[in-house]
Amino acid sequence: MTTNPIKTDARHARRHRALPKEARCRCGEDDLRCLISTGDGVTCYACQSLKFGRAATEDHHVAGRHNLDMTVPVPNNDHRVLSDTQHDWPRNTLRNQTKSPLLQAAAAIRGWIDILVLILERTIGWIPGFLEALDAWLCERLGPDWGRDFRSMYPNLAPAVPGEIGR
Amino acid sequence: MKVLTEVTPLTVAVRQWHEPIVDPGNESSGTNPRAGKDPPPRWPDGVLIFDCETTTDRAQRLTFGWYRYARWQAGGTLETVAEGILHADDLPERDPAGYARLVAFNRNHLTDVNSRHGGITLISRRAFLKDVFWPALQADVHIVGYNLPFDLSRLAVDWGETRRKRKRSRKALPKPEVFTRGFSLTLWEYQDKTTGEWREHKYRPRIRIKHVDNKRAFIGLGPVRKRDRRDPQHGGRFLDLKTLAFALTNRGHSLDSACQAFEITEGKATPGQHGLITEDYIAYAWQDVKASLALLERLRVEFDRHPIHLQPDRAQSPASIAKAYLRAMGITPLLDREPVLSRSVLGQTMSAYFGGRTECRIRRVPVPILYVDFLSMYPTVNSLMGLWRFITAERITVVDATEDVQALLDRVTLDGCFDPVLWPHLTFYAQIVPDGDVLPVRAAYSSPSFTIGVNRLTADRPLWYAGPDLVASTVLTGKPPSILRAFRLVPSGILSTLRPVDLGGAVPIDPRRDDFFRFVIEERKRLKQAARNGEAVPDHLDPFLKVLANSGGYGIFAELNRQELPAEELVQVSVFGAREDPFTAKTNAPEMPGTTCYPPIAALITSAARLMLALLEREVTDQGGAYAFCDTDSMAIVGSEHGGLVPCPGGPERMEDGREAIQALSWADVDTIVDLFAALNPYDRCVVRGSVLEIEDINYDSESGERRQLWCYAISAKRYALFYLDSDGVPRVPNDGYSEHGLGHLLNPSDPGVEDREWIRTVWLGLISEAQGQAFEWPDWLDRPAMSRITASSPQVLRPLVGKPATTYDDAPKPFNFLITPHVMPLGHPVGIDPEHFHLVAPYTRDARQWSKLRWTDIYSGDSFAVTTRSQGLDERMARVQSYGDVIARYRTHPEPKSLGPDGTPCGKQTVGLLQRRSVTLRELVHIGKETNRLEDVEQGLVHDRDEVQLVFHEPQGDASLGLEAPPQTMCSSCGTPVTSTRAKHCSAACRQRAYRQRRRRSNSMTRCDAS
Repeated sequence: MTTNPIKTDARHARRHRALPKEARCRCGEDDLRCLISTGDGVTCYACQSLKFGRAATEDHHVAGRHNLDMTVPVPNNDHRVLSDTQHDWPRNTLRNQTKSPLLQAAAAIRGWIDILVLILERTIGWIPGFLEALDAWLCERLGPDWGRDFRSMYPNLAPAVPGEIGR
Repeated sequence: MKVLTEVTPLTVAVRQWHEPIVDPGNESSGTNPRAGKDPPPRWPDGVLIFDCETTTDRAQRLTFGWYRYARWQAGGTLETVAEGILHADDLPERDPAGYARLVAFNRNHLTDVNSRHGGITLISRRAFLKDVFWPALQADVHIVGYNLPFDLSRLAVDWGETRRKRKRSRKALPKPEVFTRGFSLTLWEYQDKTTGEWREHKYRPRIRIKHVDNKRAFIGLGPVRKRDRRDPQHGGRFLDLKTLAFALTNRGHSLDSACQAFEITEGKATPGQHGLITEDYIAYAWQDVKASLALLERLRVEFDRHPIHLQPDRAQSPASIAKAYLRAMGITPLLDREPVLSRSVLGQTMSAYFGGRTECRIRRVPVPILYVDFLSMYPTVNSLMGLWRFITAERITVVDATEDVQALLDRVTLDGCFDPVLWPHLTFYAQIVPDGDVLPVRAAYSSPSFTIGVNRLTADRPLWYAGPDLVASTVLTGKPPSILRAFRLVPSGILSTLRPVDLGGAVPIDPRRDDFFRFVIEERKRLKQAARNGEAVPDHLDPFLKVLANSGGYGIFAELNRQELPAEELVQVSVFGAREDPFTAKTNAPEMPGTTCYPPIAALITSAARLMLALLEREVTDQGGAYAFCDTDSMAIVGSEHGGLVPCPGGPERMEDGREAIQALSWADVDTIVDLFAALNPYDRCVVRGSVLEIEDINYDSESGERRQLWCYAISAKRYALFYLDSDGVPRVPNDGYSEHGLGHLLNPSDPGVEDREWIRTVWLGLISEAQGQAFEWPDWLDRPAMSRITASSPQVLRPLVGKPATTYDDAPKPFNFLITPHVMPLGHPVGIDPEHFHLVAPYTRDARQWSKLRWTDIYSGDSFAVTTRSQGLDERMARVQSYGDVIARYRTHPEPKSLGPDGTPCGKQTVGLLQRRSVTLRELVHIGKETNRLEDVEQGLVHDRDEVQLVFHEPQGDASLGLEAPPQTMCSSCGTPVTSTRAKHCSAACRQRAYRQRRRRSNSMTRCDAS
């Protein structure tokens, strides 16, 4: 949930410019928000922390450090992502210079939403892409009608479209 | 009656090729700073589009505007993710009522875009720049607008003139700098904490804009003082929809007409009243942004059809697209081919380069005609000469062909020219000493500016001409020129880089097999046939192929770009031209060749087009006929259904009543001539049937489809009208039947705010009626001052308008404001004013009644003057300007000095009748640069001095090798260096301005002395 999509895009473009094309860490991390350009190439923040002997997790201020001291430990790369996401919040909410309790509450809710979204992305976010790639692979191997053939072999599968329910 | 034909010694000009002289150690490495990096994406992920509304006073200052930020979706549509209204920083104080309406509008209207990102935002200009514009620049998205320079200058708080960085070494080659002498706009400010004043933000770039013409401008970011090492400065991609629409359609569009052309259903709305902030006006502005966004989507669809590597923000014209197609076909720059063409050869071929042939032959006499034109003249002659083999050749060598060419000219005949086998042999250049040969001659016939006429030339020194021109001379005179030296261009091999490409994404062409010029024309015809047969044909293809044929057929091979350096920065160049050896000269406006520039091909193309017209002229005159005018690829042949005599002063025939007359050919005679040109049809006859010379549609009645008798009334080259007589004998001028040349730059006198050109048709009807002795009731606008609308396109134009003492940016006219300018009568200048340095402008107003009350500013001195169209009651602060009546009076007698009148003297204002070729002897030869720089400014009268827009190089004094006397050399009256121009008193603009300031200081001090 961003309030200024232009600034989000600007941050994204800056990261793009700072990193080579199709940058990726040796560990497989390719989220630009986690990558760092070093003299030797590109690495992710987690790998760099590991290299320098730092902890694998960091404490994340869920509502932002200006709002609440409440922290949760998160993996280093996820901390980078969550901190970046906070920049999309309204500036007043993030800074909360007047220490408004309503803004603190808003920040806390925004922070937990961000964490939940990240958890979903990290746990099942890879599945849609995988399924789409698998479908493309099967279409190539078995032909575009492989789905129909599959259904005819397993008629007890869930209906293909809602209209087929009850037939 | 035998008339004496006057032979006039004239200054003759030829084009030249020049290159800066560089020390070997100082040569530019030629490395591209982006080399090795990936090109930016053609369409960045996002788009910031905005449009500003202004007051209608002289300042045209920002009131409010709309913006939208959108992201491209997979289907090529834009999803708007943010939108808002921006208002002038001081609007709440300046116009509280208007601001309140903006607030109310914002409160009462919901955004119709993706609501995840909130509703309509109402922000000030400063907040817009900080939170929207600057992040958008950092995001590298397209900054989009329609007529973007105008909108950008509304956001600015100050402006200056762009300067070029001083080069490190005087001997180094100047780098091409497009922004020099353009505008540098200050947008970002910061508030000084101590004084509270707003100052320029030195760590944000300025925006630089260099106006090219009313359709194009270069826009970019300027340098900043401090660069962030982590994120070095990036480009800033500005996309003007007006420019992109022009590049795709070859037409200048308004937003309204562009929306219509691209079939956008919800296009531009109609404003109730400009300037006053009302709910309707805010809604109108909102719709403008929506229409612009819809237009961008359509333009992207059109642009993406082309499989070319071209950024949309770099597509400046149709030629950009044509050049990109040549690159896509793997065609490398011709000038880079091995062996590298000698610069002398480039100079010689450039000196043989002339534009198209345009001339008037029957002046100010209405005559019956048939109007014929050649099918796609330039692609046709390119195909006939086989120029595609040069463009795709691996090597182009120059071989001596003196004897071969002389033999060819000795045996060439009119009939032989109709054999297509001859045309590929015409790709040669020859040096001759003209001796009464009929050749294109660029000369100062009456005014200091050079015009081209096909005339009899005699010279005492050798000149270079292209093969087709020499053949044309032989055909017209019956006497082959005597060749001193000739060379032929010989292509060999074929580029290994050639690859097929789909034109418009739909028509595959293989450059190894297909002749591009022929292919494009044939495809157009095929598409038309398919459409007639009811087949489904993509709508975009035919207009695109037409644009491609026109833009890729000629101009790109003659592209030279003038680099305007600061006035004091003179570059030493080697000038190659008609002479044997180059000479050196200095200029502050060197011309750099475009990527596809190749003079040997450019000169051949226009030369071959002139040969076509010469063949047509010969066929017409051989049958005893005459022509009223010709214009590049068309001719108005005097003809009627059954032929016969037509009265015309100077004609060789006699009417029964003794009047001089000319012979009109019958329609059948003209048809026979048209059929002759079928032999020169280079296309597939199944697709392009018949002749390449066509009888134009205007000769046929649009309703009945039957041929009608067309008439012509011509005044001079490019100033003519075609008309027919209705059943009552009243002249009617059909659409596209009249030229706007010489009038098109003026505002519509009946309603200056309307771009309708109908009034020009009225002028022609009046002139035709007068010529026919019929009464004509002229409209009541004849007494109004004749006005042109211009834009404040350069600091030179704008600076005097800012005022003395300088007013604030908000109150003063701004860059790209619309202005109006009158046209001062000859001798109508105020007393003591230099006519060459006097040009009045005022902020644009469409209310003609206000024009005489406006404060008019001279852009040279900055002084104010009043204007009048009357000759009485003038005072020293008043200029007499031309009314529309004055303009028409001058227009109707505009001379054609490159021809002789019936009495054998140069055609003057009063000359009427059949004109003749002029005989010219060469008095002095000068080498000149590109002739079409700042065409728009020249037409609008903003350029008073030819040297401002055209290079003129004089040969060095005492050319012993030619046994010539040196032309008289003038010295700069300011610094004493030799002057390179024929007329200028100063070597540079800087010296001229210095002398002017000195004169003013002297005159001021004398005035003070008198007063004391």
